Amino acid sequence: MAHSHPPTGTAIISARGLTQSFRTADREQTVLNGLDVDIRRGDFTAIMGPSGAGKSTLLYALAGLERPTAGTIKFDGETITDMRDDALAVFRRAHCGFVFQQHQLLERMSLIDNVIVAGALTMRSKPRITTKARELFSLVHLDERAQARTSAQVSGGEAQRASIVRALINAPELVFADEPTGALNSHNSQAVLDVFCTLHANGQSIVMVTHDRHSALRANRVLYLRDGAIAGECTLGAWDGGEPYGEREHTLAVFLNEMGW
Amino acid sequence: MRTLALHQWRRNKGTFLGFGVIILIAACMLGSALTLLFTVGPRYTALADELHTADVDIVVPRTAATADVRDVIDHTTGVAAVEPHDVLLMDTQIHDFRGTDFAIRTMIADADAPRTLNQTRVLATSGDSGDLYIAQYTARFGQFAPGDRIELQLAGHDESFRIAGVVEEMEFGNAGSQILAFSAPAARFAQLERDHPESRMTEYAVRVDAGADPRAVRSRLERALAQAGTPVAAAIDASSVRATRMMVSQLIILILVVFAVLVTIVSLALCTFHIRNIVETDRTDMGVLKALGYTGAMISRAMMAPYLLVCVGATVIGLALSTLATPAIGSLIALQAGFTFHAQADMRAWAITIAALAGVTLLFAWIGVRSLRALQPIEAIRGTDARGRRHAMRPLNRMPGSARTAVSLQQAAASPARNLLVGCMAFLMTLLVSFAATLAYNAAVTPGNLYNTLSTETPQVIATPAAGGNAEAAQRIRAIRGVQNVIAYTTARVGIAGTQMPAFVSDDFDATRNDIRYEGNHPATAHEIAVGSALADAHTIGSKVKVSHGGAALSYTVVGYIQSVNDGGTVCELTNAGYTRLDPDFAYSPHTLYVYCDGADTAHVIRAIESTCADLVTHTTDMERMRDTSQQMYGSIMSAVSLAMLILAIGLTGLVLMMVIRSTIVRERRRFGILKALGYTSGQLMRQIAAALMPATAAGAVLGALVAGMAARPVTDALFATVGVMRSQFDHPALLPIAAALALTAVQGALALGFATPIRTISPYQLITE
Repeated sequence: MAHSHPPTGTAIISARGLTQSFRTADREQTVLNGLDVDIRRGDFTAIMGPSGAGKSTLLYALAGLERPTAGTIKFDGETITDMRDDALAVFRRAHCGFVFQQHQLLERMSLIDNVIVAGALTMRSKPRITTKARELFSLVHLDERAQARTSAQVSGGEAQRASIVRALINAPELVFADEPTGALNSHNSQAVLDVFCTLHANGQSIVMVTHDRHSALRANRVLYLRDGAIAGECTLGAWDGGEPYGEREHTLAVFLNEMGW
Repeated sequence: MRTLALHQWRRNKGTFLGFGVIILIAACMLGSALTLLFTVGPRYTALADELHTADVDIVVPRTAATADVRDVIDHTTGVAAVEPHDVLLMDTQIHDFRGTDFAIRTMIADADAPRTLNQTRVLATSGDSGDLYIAQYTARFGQFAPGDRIELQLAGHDESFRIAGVVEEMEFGNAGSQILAFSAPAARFAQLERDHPESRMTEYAVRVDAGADPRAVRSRLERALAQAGTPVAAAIDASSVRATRMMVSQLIILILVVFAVLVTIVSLALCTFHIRNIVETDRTDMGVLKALGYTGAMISRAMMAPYLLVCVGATVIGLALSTLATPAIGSLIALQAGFTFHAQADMRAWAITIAALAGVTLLFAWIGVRSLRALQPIEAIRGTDARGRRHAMRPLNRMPGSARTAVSLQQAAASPARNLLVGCMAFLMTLLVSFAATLAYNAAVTPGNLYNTLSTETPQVIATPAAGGNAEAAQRIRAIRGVQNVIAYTTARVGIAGTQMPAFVSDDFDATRNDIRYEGNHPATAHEIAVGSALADAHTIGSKVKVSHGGAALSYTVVGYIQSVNDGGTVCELTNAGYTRLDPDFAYSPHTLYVYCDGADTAHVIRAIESTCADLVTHTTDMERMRDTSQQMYGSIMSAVSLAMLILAIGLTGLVLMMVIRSTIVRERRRFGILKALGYTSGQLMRQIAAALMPATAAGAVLGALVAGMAARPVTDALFATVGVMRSQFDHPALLPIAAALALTAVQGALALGFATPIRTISPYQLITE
């Protein structure tokens, strides 16, 4: 499904007064506290913050997976916080792709079948979905042998790359990634981040939650979450595919230091 | 272990409760069946002993009851004691018997005569004097009460009596013995004897030797008396009477046991399916427990314990409920059998029910947990345990259809165990629904089918002509508007091999509307006979048989077999000329005329007969009314049975589906959460769940329809054969099994969609962040 893309730099998601509270056994805990944020089209946005800051909560609220306690979220001008569950499901399939920390692939299905299941939401023809899936698999360097295996039969990195393909099959406007390298070793992490960078270079908008500095370096924009609100923002510019050290790392380090990281 | 068992209970409460409900139903049915099995027979025996019921009763005309006859009886092998009594035996029409005229032989005894054998017990009286005591069957089934008036046509003469009381009697019991018992106070009895001298009989109540077979003694007595030239008007034995009266209770017990077994099988299949599911999904936890030091046996016991406890608890509740159901069934049995029976809880029945259900539950639960014993802890924890590893699904590119169709089919093929369970359910329930539909069709839609299957020939009107008026009466009746045909069809009595039996006498068997012949031909000449199913084994078609009546015994050629449920197959057919060979006076005596109408109002035909044939016809009987009443009664019973079967089928289907789908949702929660996150709506996932069950359901339903279509007739015939029906008149429309399969598939699909609604409560966010 093709989506028209307005010029980059415009806000694709606007959240205002976003509040998320959870009731535990004896008290109410507020994770997001009146947060305002814009996610811009064409950006690779990394969301960082201390543990328990609400990074994943913010991510899933923006993606329509979690309904906030208060506030509004608009996606391309359409308010999603008013939508019922089924409408949100339709919204997600049309606009969002997800890459979870634990890949969350369906266990008994092969990698390619996991992608076909997602593609079946927007395309009827199995051959068409398969062709598109194969193209995306080649992008993430997974051959047909690997595609025919289940998630239990491949490495964590391969499974995570397959989950990226699943996230892209319906040509989403925005890919949401929750600690995509959190469960991977450094080699596999690099491979996954390389894929994200390639996608970003091709115009894909990405929002990624991470607690890993090296992962954040791949983004062009870093948001720091603290005490339920956006405490600061840092612009790193586009990743040029070279060494992560140097100016980008210094800029990020200063920013994180200021944020109290 | 207790903690583990409680954990299982808390996690799977819904499934355990569903399992418990099904066991409860099975326990209620099995408990009722066993209670009746253990109590009806003993109650019958106790009553028969209390009232000193004779083992054999022989009735001979009073004029033939000489000292020599008594001598013959006394000296017959097996006879221990004999008690003679004066009685009246005659053909009777009981008017307004359950709303119709009921034709049967009646035996009237002197209520005041002292008796040792065949005593009666008064159950209810009218308080003031009446002049007839009726048996309990006549009162309950015929709907009479003390103080009512009862109109009897005794040997062609109308008499009116006031019912003095209702008695318990065990000699005849119900109409199955073809004789109903009455008794009258001495003065009234004496008057009846004066009014009906031709009906005066002597009844010899016989007690047989200890260990002797009453049937055999009865046969010996009939043969001995036939050899002595003594006509026997009636002969019964306690064994045959008991068998006839207990037939209904045995049928009910059989049906209850079959249903209980069916329901139990379903619950046990569910139990095994569910336990296997738990073992598969919690395999890692099991591995951890084993690593900690729990043995496989300990874990298995903890998993089986909730099932056993639920089974025992549900069984006890089911048995308690059966104490409500059993009296109702017992009341029906008492009504049919004609003796007082109040169902009471039987501890043996309870103990057997609990032991049986608990035993099979333990067995099937053990089958489900068997694999735990071989579980290696570290393999289970790593997920490399070969037994626990679930097989990969069939690839989508091998599934036909569009992408979504392929996903649905993949889900359908994912669980062979679930498909087997659902498919078997659909198969069994299609058979059940198909059978119920066939019963209902033949009892309510075309009620004549069931009635004709269980009955002998029943015209619309029976006319009894005066002596010498047979031909002219028939001719005049044929001329009445609305009359389609008139045939002479008389029921006489003959003896074959010492056994007295009804003989249907006619020259127009082929003109009857309910053909009771099931093999060979009706008799067509004076030397031919068709015999009943009870005589078929001993008399092949083409063989000769000696038939006796009065002092005559003549040979006839067997040309065919006929059925008669009421007479237990002990009947025969003869032509007019054939019977006249035995009884030359038959040609001059009145021959009952069977009148067939062409849909006209029978009341109109009867009025026309009474007005145009008043000088020729002594009595007319509206058989259409009796037929309608009987058809309504059969139809109501069968419709109720069909409805019960339908409700059971839908109930069981619903319970099984609910548990299968619940366990699917629990087991696949993560998958549903991921799919929801990807963008599948709750409705799509619900339809996916329902669609995944459809192939197995459809396959089971189609197979069930095929088997039902092929087996319906043989099964129905076999069922009816147990009550003496050799030729069923049931229709088996091919449409019924097809409709049953379609209906069941549709119902199962609708139920599956309904039970899948908990999908809506699954939150993708919660699952992903768990």
